[in-house]
Amino acid sequence: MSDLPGNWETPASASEPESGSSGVFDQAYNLVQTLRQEIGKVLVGQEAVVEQVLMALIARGHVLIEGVPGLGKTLLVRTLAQCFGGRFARIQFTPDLMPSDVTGHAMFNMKTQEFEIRQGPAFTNLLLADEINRAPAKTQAALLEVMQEGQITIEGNSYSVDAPFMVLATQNPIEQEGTYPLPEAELDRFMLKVLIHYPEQRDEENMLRQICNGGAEDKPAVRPLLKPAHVLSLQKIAQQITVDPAIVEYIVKIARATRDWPGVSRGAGPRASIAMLNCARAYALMNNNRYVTPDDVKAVVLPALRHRLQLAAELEIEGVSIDKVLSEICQSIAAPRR
Amino acid sequence: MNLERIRIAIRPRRDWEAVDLGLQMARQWWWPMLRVWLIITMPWLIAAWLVPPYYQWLVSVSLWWCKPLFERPLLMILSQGVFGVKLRTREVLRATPRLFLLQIFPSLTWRRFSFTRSMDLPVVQLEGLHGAERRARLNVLHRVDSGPASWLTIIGVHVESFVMMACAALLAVFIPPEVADSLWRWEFWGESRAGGALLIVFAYVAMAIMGPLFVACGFALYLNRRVKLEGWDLEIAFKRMAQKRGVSALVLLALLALPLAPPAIPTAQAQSERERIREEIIAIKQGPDFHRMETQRVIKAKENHQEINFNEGFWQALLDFFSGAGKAARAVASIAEIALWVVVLVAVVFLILKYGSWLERFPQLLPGRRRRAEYRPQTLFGMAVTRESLPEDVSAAAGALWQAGERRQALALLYRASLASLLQVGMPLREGSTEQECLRLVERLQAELDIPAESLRYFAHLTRAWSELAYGHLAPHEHEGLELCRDWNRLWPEVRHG
Repeated sequence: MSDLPGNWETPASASEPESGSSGVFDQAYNLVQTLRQEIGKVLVGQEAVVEQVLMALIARGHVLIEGVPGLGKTLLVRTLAQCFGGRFARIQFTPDLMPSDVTGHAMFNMKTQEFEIRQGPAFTNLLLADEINRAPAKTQAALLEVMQEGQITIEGNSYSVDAPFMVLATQNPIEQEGTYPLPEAELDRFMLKVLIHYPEQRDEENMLRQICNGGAEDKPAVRPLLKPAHVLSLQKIAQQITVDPAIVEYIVKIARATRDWPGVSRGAGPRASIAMLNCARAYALMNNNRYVTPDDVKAVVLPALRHRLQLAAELEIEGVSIDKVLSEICQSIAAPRR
Repeated sequence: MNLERIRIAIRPRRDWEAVDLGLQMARQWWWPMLRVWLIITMPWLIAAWLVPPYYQWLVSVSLWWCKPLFERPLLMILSQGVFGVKLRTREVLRATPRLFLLQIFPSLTWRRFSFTRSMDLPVVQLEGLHGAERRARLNVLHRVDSGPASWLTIIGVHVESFVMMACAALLAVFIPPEVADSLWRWEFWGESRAGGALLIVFAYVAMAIMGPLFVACGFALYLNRRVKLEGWDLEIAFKRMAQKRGVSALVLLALLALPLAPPAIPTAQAQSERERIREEIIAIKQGPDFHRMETQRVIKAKENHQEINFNEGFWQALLDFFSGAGKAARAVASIAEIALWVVVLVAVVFLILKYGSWLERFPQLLPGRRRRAEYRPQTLFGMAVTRESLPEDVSAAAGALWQAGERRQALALLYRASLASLLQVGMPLREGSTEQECLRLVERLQAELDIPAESLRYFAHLTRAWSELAYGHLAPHEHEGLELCRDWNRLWPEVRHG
């Protein structure tokens, strides 16, 4: 933490950022950049993925990461957890996982002759739901309440989870046998769906060189840069970024266009508009902008909407991808001008 | 070749009738042919599962390439089968290496792509011809009734493709939708061992189904051509007659009828007898056995109505009426034709007027700089971007707005004028383009559209200032704003001067 500004050291000072303060904003930007670089040291060649995950963290959202095995989905989340001083829990979703294995349950204590609440792994700051689609729908649904409301109800009593709380779920687009596709309500609760692709040739070579130099087990050390209070501060700073009414109008136009677009059978709802707005703010912060531009909105449209749209069967048969449809929608909507 | 032992009905057939015969033959000898085909090609199928995925394409290509060789044992079965010889699979397999080596090089190189392969194969394999003799023979065979041979190849390719698709569809029917989704990815078919091997299996099934049919139809065409050329049907008919009546009786008849008959008849009587016979011959030749009567009905306009002689005035009047009605109908048709053309032209103009602007949304459809320069939308991003919509002196107008405290309007005018200027020089800006996208586009096409570096720097500066003001509500400094207003006229002369 030595390269970070001193007022980030104490949660108390960081929790109340000065509104419009240039210094605090610069500190926040520098912190995010440092975080990106730190994670980038471990996860080579996935800068866009790292950026989107941090964006969701700053925008108080949850992320669904999709990619074939071996691209570092779990490594990304683990590295983020190492940079993050808060609590981290991992659940490997399996077909026999029960909802109570995620949220917790009441257990009768023979000694005290009383029921005790045993909190599940969801009571954490960063929750990695690995291969979320391997568990049946009822177990997936155990996350609905905590993702939306930040609380878990056990035996009729609600328990709040610690802030910040973020779910990072992974799923594999291939090997669909024995999996349970996420229901729409669950998908909609994820702020972003991040696609992780194969790294470039040069990045893959760099990765192998790192292994050659240091051995397979010798991953670069990651410094713990963040505390939960720092994340909360980042989230507050992002919320104070200026959004012009024209930008709000632009976001709503995009969301509404998905509902009427030919070839889209299910469009994005208002939660998608909110997600786009928050993500655009986080994206602006990450790019050292104190205001949101249409470019920021465009940059978040694909990850924020691709899992909320359902293409018509004809387009799916033709092999049209949702990303292509979203790009066309963005191109068709006039950027805001005054 | 003993035609008496032939097992198919020998008669001259039309070309597609011969193909029908081929299909019947394929049904007759289906299992012997298929069995041999499967045994011969089995190594390819095994190789498909054994070789690494990145070599599977070699297996499929070689399987396809060697198809002419696999057809030879099938032809052997057919050629013997039509004469009643039932070959055992072992015999065919024993002969297969020899059959493979028969003119193998030309068969797998330039003749591999011959469309008439199925019909030409018997010439090589059964007649054993090569070189000029083969060419001469093929010329004779191809003279008529060889069209279906080429069509067989074309149809065969399609049928094989459809069978492959059907196999894939059948597979998809039995697979749960979640897995089927991954089945339609290139990674599965193009890169995995199972996908590649499945493709080869599908192709193998298609070839196995089509192979015997292809060979049999081609062979039937060949047989039909020889029947016509060499009169096999007549030969068989004579032989059957001979068998029926006995050879000795036929010979005796020939001896009696041919050389000895004429001298035995006196001259006058013979003359009248010849005349009678000639008349009978003519009558028979004119009879239905030597002619095919066809009735054709055609509508033909009568050229000269005047030649028809009508005795009564009524008929004349009726004729005049119809003649006049015909002229009127022709006139109406001419008018209707003109009207139709007018409708077409109006429709074209309407479409251009209604949807012409829609085309402007796709400037990338206009190739080259010249056409791009013709892309001149009137409005963009909801702002008028024509020269007429701008003040005569942009710098002065923007400066005045700035001085009056209307900073947003001042920068908006500068930005709008810059966009108009860019459009004038052919920049393909789109409505959905954001400020940064416009800037990136200008940077990319700077050299192509001869935009000065100083103008580009100015545009980047203006874009930043405009974005900060429009979205961040942060006005530039006084001197910075005035500088932007002042420099516009100097750096963007195209629009100002038209």
